[in-house]
Amino acid sequence: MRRERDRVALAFGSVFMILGVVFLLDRFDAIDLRPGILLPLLLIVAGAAVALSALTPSREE
Amino acid sequence: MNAEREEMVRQEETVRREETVRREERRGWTARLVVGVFLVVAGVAWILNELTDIEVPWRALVPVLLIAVGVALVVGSATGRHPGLIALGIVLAVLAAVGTVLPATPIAGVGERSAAPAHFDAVEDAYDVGIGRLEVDLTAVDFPDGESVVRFNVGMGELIVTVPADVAVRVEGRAGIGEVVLLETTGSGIGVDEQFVDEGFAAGPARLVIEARVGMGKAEVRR
Repeated sequence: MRRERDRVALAFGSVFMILGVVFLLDRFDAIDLRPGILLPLLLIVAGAAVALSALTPSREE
Repeated sequence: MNAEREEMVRQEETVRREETVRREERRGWTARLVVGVFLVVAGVAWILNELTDIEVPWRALVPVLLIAVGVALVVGSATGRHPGLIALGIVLAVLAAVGTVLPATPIAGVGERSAAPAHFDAVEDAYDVGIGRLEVDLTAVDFPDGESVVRFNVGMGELIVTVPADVAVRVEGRAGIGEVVLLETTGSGIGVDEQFVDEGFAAGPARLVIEARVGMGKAEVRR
């Protein structure tokens, strides 16, 4: 039986994982996350979360 | 016929109810697992920090926890929405973003801090103030040949660094929101990132590199 997933939880989970990795790289100076990069990055991941939640099959469907 | 249909409806309802109960149980299980594992890891790290020479990278704590919450949500998406974990993730993401934008958090101290080291050994690698004013006078320091790097971080407030006249300097200044004044270079606004390099810096026997960061406020380096 195919287990249906909650698209909101899936989208937020994916975004949190991506953000966590980015912040972790910044903490160890692997990348330089200055405000001019951080703010557009947050826009991108917010947009990705919305798009992902729209595309991922919902458990209600 | 009606009795059979009623029986079928009753059975479907029972199955649905049992499935709902199972989902609720699994949902609570996911959140408890994340919180439990985090507490165990934090406790072990704390003990290691106290009893051994192992340096625990506390600055990685929030991003690692954010990743853990993300994994738990992706795995747990099969059992429900988990609004508690989503709320926890949002709080952690905001904390991580603030920690990135502000070079020093309020934990680094609130108030005024000033220092005027008299010799090179008294110069710290980094000076931090969370909220307030940081003023460091390096004019009395006789910097040795080679490159010396000193970092200054203020979360919110004002930073003033005075450098010796006889040392070649390279200054990198950054402000999340505010103003930087680096000897002859200035900048202001959002995401300010400026640099000033003395002529002949590369050839100088004693070279001083200053990294001045302010989250919100003003950073000034002067002679």
